[in-house]
Amino acid sequence: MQKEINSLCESVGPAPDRFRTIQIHPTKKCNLTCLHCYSSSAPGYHEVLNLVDLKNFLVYAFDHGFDNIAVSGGEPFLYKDLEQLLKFSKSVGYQNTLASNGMLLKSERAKRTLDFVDLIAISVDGPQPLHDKIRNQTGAYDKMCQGLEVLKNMDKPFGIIHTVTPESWNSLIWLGEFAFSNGAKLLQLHPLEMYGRAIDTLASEVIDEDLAHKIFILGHYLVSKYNGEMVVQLDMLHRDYLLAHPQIVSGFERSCGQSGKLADLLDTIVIEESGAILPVSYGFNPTYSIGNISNFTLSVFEDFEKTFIPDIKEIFNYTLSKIGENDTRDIVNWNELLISESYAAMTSHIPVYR
Amino acid sequence: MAKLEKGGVDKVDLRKISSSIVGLKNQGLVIDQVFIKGKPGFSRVHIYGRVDPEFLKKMVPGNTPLKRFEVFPFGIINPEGFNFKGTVESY
Repeated sequence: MQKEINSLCESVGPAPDRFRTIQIHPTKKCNLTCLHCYSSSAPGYHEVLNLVDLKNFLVYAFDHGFDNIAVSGGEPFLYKDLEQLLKFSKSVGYQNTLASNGMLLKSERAKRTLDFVDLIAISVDGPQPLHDKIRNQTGAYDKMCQGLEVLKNMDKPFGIIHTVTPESWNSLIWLGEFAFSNGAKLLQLHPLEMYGRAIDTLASEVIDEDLAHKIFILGHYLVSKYNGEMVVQLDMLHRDYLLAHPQIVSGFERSCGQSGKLADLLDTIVIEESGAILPVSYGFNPTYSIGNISNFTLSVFEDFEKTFIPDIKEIFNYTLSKIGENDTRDIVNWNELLISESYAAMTSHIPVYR
Repeated sequence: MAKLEKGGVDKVDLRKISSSIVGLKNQGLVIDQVFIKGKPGFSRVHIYGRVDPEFLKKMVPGNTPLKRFEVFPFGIINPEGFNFKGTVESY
């Protein structure tokens, strides 16, 4: 029997022990059309989040235990209200993080905006030829490097996010050196997921079991190589490790999950460019939508908990049990499996409580 | 790297190596997390930090039945302190 020191899961307090994140997609507008983009962002989009609605929701969510925002997109720096958004969220008490392609950081407006950013992650797809190929634009690599120079000159903490593909995995050693030599605090390796534009453009680039092992081994080599100097975050888990520590991915497996509070159950909620609020991750089945920032009520979380949390708990548990049963697949992309299960649940094993 | 790249490590060995890594990780100090697409691993950056051995000696005496712990520096650039949490066996 175990007893935990401190309240490991306390969602509200002066010193956050685990961040509860609102991932915000304020626009799908982007200056690039990356081959692997999970949100299929592109220059042609014009829908943007209403800033007033967003501010109202951020105040509500902060009072309910969320304390970190991760602005993604599209390209966040194409959202005209980004500076105001980050200034506001900072004043509320949020930690501000961004994921960006790094190509639009040279303007004075961008530099002002960066003053309100705690950590910015820049997407890098590999050495220049591969980066430009995946980014679908010649010169993208050079402009990204210029963005890194801006961050370095501002002494702004930054990370590098890399989507690992069958074409890029053998550049991981290079990538570690690139990130470290540029002074990155974080190198995050996220496996390619077959979602969004990747379904059409990278259908043949599926990461098979052998390659997953190679990425896992190389990722941990980099963790060890840069230990104490740069965080290397690998968003892949070994099946044995996941089954031994299911609380890594599931709030339902943590003691705090008994509180029934949304922020104790879900590490992340997502606001799409339409204003829809989704649980868990971008791409999660919208049937389980929490609401919309344009018309949410002050009981939106409680209503969601009563209506959908039993379903979502089943989806988490079923995904874990499937991983446990499949002993031929050692390396697991948890989020991809969970999203897939959120759709499968509608047609198979899990009743929808409504 | 060359062996991995040229297929010099077969499927069985790949699985063995991965399993060995997991075995080591299970003895580690920081429990891993995974992050969703487009969400920077911010909390990992917060967790990251060197731990003063003297501090640990005081906090974790040799006979403490400590199973696992994590350390949380506050702030990225200039952490001034850290929180401590852990799991012990209860009797």
